[in-house]
Amino acid sequence: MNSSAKALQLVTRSRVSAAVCGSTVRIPRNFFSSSTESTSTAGGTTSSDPSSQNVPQFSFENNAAAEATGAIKLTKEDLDSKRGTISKAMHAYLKRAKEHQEFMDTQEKEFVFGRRHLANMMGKDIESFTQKDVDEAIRYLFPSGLYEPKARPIMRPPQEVYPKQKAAQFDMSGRPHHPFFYTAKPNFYYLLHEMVSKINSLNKLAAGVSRSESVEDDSFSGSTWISKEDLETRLLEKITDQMYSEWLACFERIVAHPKKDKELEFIKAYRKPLAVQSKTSELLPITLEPDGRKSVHVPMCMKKSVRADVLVTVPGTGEFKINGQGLDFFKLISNREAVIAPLQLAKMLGKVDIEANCQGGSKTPEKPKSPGCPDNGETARAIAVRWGIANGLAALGADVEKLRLAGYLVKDYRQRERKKPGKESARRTWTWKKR
Amino acid sequence: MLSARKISTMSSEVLNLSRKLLCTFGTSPASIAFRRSTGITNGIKKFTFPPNHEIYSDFNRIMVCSIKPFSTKSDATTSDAGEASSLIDDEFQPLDVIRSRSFRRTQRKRREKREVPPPRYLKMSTDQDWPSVWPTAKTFHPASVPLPLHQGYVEPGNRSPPNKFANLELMKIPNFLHLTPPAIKRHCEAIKKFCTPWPEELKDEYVLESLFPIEVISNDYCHSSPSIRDPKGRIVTLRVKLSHLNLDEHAKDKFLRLVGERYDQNTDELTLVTDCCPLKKQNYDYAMYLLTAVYHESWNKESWEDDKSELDAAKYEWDGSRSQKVLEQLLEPTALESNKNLIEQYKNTVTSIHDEGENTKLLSEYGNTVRQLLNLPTPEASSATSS
Amino acid sequence: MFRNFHFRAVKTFARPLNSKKSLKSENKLFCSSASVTSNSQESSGFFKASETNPVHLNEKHLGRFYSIDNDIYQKLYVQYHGFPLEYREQCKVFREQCVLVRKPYLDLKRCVDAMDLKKPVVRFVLHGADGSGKSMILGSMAHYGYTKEFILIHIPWIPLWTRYCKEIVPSTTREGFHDHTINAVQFLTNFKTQNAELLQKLNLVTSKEYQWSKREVTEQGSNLLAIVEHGISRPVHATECMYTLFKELKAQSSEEKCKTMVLADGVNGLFYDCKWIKGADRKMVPPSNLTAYEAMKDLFKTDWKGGVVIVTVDRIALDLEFRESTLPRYLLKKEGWELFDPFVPIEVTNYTAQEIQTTIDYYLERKWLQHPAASTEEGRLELEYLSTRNPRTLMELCNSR
Repeated sequence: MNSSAKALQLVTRSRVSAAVCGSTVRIPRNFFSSSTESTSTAGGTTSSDPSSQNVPQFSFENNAAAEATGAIKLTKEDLDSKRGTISKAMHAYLKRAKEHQEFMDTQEKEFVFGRRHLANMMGKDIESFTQKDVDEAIRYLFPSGLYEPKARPIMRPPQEVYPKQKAAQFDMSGRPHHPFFYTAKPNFYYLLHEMVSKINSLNKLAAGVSRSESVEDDSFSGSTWISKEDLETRLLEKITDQMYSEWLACFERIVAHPKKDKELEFIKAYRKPLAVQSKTSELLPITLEPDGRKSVHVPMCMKKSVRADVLVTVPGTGEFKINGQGLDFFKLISNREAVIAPLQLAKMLGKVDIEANCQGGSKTPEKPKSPGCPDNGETARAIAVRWGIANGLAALGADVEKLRLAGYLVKDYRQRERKKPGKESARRTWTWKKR
Repeated sequence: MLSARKISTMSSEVLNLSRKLLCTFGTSPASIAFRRSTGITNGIKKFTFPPNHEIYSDFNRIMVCSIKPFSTKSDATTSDAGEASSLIDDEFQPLDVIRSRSFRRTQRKRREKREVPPPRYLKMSTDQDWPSVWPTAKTFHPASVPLPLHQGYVEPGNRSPPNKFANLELMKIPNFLHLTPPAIKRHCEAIKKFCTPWPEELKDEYVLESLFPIEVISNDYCHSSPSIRDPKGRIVTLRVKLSHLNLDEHAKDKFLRLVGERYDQNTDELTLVTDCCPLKKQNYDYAMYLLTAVYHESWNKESWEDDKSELDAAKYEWDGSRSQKVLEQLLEPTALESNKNLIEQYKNTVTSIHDEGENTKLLSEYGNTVRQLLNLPTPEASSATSS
Repeated sequence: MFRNFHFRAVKTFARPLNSKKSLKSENKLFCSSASVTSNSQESSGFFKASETNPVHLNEKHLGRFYSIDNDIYQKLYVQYHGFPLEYREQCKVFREQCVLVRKPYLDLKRCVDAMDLKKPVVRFVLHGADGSGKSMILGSMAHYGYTKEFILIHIPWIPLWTRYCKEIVPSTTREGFHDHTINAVQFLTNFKTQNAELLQKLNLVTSKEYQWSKREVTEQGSNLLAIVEHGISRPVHATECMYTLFKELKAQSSEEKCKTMVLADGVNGLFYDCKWIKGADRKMVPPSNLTAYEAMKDLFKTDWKGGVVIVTVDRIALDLEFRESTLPRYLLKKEGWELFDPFVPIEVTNYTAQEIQTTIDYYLERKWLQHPAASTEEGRLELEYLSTRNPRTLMELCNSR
């Protein structure tokens, strides 16, 4: 019980307040010992619950709390002498927690056995059968043609499949473990409480320091606050937008504090890096040509249905070779502009050679929109080639930030929207006539 | 829970007992009172003795009253004993004039629920022989497959994807549990004894091609069902290089005209694809027949082939063409004599322009030749004196 | 394609990312013609040669501009499409006529110089990509021919006869043939402007009598100009006059009385069906039924001496379906090829790197490129790449709205 008390105990999500004053139920004498086991198991599981890691820990002992509040402590003698009463709802909770734990255990066992079975089925060695192998095997055995990856068959450890739940949040006497239990969202409000106390402690430290000394810190430039959904998954509680904005406002106050350096760890725990930052290392590899030049090959440049691959070679003479033709492959000036734009930005126009092959697109030279039509689906090809060139330049050492700011490194994922019945095209409705 | 059997035995017991009572003890109030006071135990529900004339009608009521309605909730606290004791305590049973619902519910014969044994896969060992368990294509059967699968799209939130039991989506997928790699290995091993190794002599591509110039390609399709029938299986492709066929110039020209687009110039391959017949064998026969027919036809020369005009010619013939005539007109006879080489060159360039297709290189060659014939300076000469 | 240009905005530099519109939608700066220097004789900068006599142009002037004298320009070009329309408009603004000296031009000049006029005529066929400068070279050859005292038969753009012809009448003299009236009159007028002096000087006379109709006769021995004037005054007979004129000139050149230079742009238009010419019975008239076609075809043959035929083949002269290739064999078709073979093909390519920079220098000097970044290296590079060194595209890019 003590070990479980040390860890944070989270309450099941059933309605506590309503059922607290439920009818008393007679329980057998040995209920306490079994219940301790169940609560300990419940507590035991929660201690291993990864969700509890990020929530601030606090050390409360149930007994201490009981003493503090002056409640009656149920001693063993008490238990033996009287028949201890336990609320029906509480009993239900404990039972449910126990059931859940048992369920998770069986699932865990099944998964372990299932892995072994799968390895045996596929003729592989169980020792080196990773989750990746499991996924591959499932894809082999159950080839699903569904587009949505989440809808396809999966075989995962039960922790990944079943959503996390809070275990029993109060002990057998009905006393909740968490001090903020009666706020109905204890983890969230405790977090706010923590933050405010941190602000107070920082204020104390900054007593002598004037406001103007707060310096703009760039340490958070590459990261952003975790989203509402992330916070919900961390705290296992549903959070409204208003609550989230309040929480954010509180955090901003900490960040704006001159002495925030003391609490950097805490702040960083609630920030996630920007997607962009995490991909800086994903530049393409440079290959060395036999004639000593460096080149980057960018495969799979996509725009709508165009597929292109681009080879950027440096040092070069500014030669363009697109499908065997020069830059005059693009008849429209705007398309030519698009293609040379990243080169201009990186100031490498005339210093690199570009070779590109593009095929695809809805209007191909074989079946053009109309004979002699200048465009013929060229723009999609131009954009695809431009993306390839930009990536190639980024890999060869051009200023990645500039290219990124200009937006040349982002793939344009837009596709043509389907025409719907009842409308003339994807969105356009027919002209409404009064009669 | 109180099973239907129990009720029926109880009611029959009641019947027997009451019959016995009626037969043996009579129906006087005193006797009734006596019996009541002694209390008949042994799990018999309490019943009253109504007046004689209503004895039959009250039998029903005895049955009714004797069976107190149970609660459907499986409360741990409720037990038969408790119920019985509470019933025994009551003096009078209320008379149910209006037949309550509970009566109806209990009267309905409860179907016996067959006890479902636990799923089979729990008893499977992890080193079992899977191909024996799942030898052929079968719809997914959750109790026989020891994998804890989940399938189903759920909104990210509190729910988990549904498990494999009663999961229609998993059943819809044509699974390949019967074709796991060990199973396939076994199939291959079983087939191997009908196979012979590839002959050593044919390992060389060149030899292979010269000995077996015709390549026949066909596909077989297998599904996750036992059927191997697929309409695409009837398609037969035949490939042969024209260099293996004995064709002279006229024959080759005619052959190419007959065959049209089926000939690939770059690889010198003729590809015949036949799918008009329903069976593969028939298509194969037809393809071979087609090849033979076209080959022999191309050697035949029809009388109307001589009417072929210049426009239809596959190749450009310079000798006797207008080009030659013009040149002869242009140049003086002496020039014609001395510039035989140049004329030869000119002829070649004109022919290649017509045959190979025009390009700037050929055209510049042509230009140079013409300049030389007409004694004009070549473009290199004009730029040679650049400062 | 009918060359239909209007001035567009001055070229801008470094367009914003998402704008997919072409350059034409941007700035509306106009170049102030007041600031343009009108003295064309100055050789300001390396890119301008001071030479005005085309006879003396050689490799030294390669890649530089030479200017044509104003009066010669007026005589030869202004009235009747001697040079492309866009170029003539540009000359109006720049108040000078500068032509870039390019390799094909020098090549052609050299060949013409080296030609033996006693031998049958040599045909030169200029070919190249769209807008690469074929018509310009043809036009500048006219200047050269004029200086060298050739009689110029300059047919500026043949599709004007086969597609955009203004009026077609059935021929009075030939059965089943059709005549152009307005086109022929225009041609004859221009011919007169170009060659009147020379004709007078050389005193070329008709070899026989020509009866145009019952009452109209040109006697034998009258000056060839008489034919021309008759044609101008009588549109009905204009094409016939053309035909006769060509015949006469051919005969006279063969007798070495004069030299004739035939210049024709877009000759390949003659060998394709004229979809737009419909006879009286609303049926399409094939080109072989046009008198003008007959006249021109005879010019290109090799049955005369004492002249030179310089011709361009342009795929723009044809309908959209026939524009697969820019090479002469394809464009001339079988008929045309047999008419011209053997000929000297001269390829006119896009500008070289040096030539395009020279042109940009010229535009800058004329203050045509107003954008401050136009003179920077980046600006020049951009112009070079966007135009892919094509002369016409460069001109279009630099035009104003």
